[in-house]
Amino acid sequence: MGELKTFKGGTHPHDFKELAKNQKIAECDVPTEVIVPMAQHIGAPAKVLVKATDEVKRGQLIGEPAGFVSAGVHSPVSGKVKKIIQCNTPIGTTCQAVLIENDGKDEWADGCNVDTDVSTLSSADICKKVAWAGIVGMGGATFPTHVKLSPPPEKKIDAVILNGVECEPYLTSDYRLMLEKPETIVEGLKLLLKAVDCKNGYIGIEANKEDAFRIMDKLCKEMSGDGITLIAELLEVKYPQGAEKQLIKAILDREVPSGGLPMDVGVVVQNVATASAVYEACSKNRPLTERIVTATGDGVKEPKNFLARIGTPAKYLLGKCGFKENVNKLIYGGPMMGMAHFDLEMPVNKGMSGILSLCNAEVYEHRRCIRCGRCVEGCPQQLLPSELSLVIESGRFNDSKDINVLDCIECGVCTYVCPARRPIVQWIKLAKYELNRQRLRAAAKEKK
Amino acid sequence: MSNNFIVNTSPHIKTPAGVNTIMRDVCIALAPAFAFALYRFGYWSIAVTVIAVVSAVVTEYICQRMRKVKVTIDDYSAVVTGLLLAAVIPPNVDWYIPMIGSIVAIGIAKHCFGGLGCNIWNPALIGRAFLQVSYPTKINSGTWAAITNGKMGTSIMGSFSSLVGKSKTSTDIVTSATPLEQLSKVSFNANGDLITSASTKVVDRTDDCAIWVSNNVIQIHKGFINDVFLGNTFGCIAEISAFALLIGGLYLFAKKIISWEIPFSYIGAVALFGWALPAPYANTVGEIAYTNAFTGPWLLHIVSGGVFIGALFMATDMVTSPITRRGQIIFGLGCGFITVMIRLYGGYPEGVCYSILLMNTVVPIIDTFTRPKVFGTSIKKKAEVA
Repeated sequence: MGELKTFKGGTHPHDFKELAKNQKIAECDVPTEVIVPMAQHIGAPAKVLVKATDEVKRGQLIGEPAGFVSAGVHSPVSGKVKKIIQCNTPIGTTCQAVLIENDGKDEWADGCNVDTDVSTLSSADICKKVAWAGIVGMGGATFPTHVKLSPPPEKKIDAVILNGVECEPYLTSDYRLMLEKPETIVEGLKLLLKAVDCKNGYIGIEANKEDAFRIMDKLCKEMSGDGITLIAELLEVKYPQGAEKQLIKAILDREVPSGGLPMDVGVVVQNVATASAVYEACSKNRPLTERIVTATGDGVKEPKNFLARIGTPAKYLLGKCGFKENVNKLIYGGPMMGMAHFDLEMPVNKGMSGILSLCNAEVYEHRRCIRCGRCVEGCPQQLLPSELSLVIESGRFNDSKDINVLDCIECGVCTYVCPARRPIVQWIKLAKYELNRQRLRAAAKEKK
Repeated sequence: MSNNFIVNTSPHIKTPAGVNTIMRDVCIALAPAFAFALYRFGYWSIAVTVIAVVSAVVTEYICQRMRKVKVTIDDYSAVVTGLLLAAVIPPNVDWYIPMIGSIVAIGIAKHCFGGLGCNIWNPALIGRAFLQVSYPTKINSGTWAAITNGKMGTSIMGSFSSLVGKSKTSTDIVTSATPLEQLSKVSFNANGDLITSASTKVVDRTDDCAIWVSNNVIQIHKGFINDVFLGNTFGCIAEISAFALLIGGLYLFAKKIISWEIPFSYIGAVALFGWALPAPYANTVGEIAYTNAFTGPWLLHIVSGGVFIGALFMATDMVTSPITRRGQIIFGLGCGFITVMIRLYGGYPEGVCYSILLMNTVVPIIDTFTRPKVFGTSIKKKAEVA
């Protein structure tokens, strides 16, 4: 294990991937009603283009991007718009959503689902297609992909990394995708490389998914050529290996500067599911209307990996897995960075790689820091989480800025390992929120 | 049903190790040392331990009630303090000694500073230091009567009893010095190179001697180190057997409760400075002389006294040691250096207690100077320069 590439810090929680690991991707039938939220990405929520009683077809644009950092939303089914509602988002806010009654015909909108020869597409065509298809980072961060593919001209991109690490415990959606549709991923990678005019593509995979690695490795070797090098990298099993900065460090040994972006070191990182979606958009003209979702945890009898339409309520998916009565926590995403929510009706969105239900979730009472140093040892950003927690606990938000609170990637390692059960990440999020508010307030004052 | 879901921030899973499991593991790790104490000193040593632990827990309870904070005696931290205090006091003290020690340790060293996590100094060592200055005659190792069960190696027994001018025949109770006492206060007879403790009576050099000086080099009797390592010697309740402590230390390593940095740097520094620094002794004409540098009995320095309990259990106390690995190495080196300085040139025969307390004091400074380099910051600076 020592020879595998990795980063400094991190920890390895028990990954519980065995629950859903061997479940083949099952196409989930479409419910009679889907709820399509307009805020499925980072940035401005999309603007609703339809109104009640409108007929829509699958792939039809129903929410248009409201700015550059935004993404379009497409109807995942054909049918009739019932009404425009407010719906919960996993992060705890609400947004507009379109409630569509499914007519069961699954008719594609004009121009969608038409095969195109991808080799004829130029770099600009690919970017345009990606933006048209409303593709966002499908690993959970949901950053609009076309923005990542349009770096300012002074930033030269020389590597595209696909993130197939899936270091979050429980989740297996990327793993199943790599096993079952590896060609779409590698084809997607080639398109991404072309989009940013770069020759080196990498796919990072954790060593606990060795079978997926072997498949990707073989495919990468086969599909390299024409000056393009594709390399699959086996990485040490360690959380958060899939964090963007840590992944770049592990594969290319480059450190994204504090406050910077991957493009500052010439890298674009995309999730494997995103690459697959890019390929579907370019080759088949299919907007992003479905994704793979792992429904798992001890709260379901049979954990499964679904290919589910965007807008499918969580309850619908969980119902197909045998949802237990005594579930006491519902998490959208993985257990380390996912969001707990009370709403079972939350629809699947573009960034939802898993729905996790737990029966024995506990709420801990925290104690004083005993300075054991486990958080310091585990922090992949080499921060002092213990110190941050003490500073923020006493309300000194500005002091926390001086000790690099803004460099925290909120991976949750510190809070996972803390024997005093201190909610360190929660405090850090609070401090970031407060600092941001102060910044906005100061900016507003200056304007006056 | 959906109303009963827990909603809080990520991460939603936690490691099983909590404060209480860590402290419980420390208690388990101390078990071999106390088992050896029972074998070596008899039941009173365990009675002293029980008194120390009970007083520590009761004091913790009272302090937390007085401070109106949550009572957390179930986290075992007071138990650990009680055990560690008992470990470093002699086995035959009066019943109130461990009690006073524990009250000071928990009441003053811990709760006056805010309880677990906020104390600057290791509570058990503060308790021990308090006892040492308050009851020097009871705590000072040179004058207590060590109870033996007659199982000591005869050569050691002989050397100890002869060195303090008592009968050479084995007895069950002898008043004697610890090996360190002898290192610290060596003197010679007119004929040659015998070293004794501070005793006025000088005995001829015989094979029964454990330690002596010859040609300005400290000599140690064959087998003596072995006996000291295993614990066939005098000393405090649970510090005498480096071997038993080592077993406990390995358990803590295995459980990842302590890391190698502090124990290794501490013991390494004791060995290094114990070997390198010249030791003072009184020569044949009663003048202070020094042994040759780089000839010190480093092995004896390591295995005797409180080095093992200090390095494995006291200095590794999470609350009072630096938080980064680099800082821990500096901390361990400092502890080792001060330990040897006190042993060789200080007023006490043993320096472990004060060395750790002194280094505890500078932990905030060490932490300040050993901050890890935040990911991505080194490159930013380079970019700015360019």
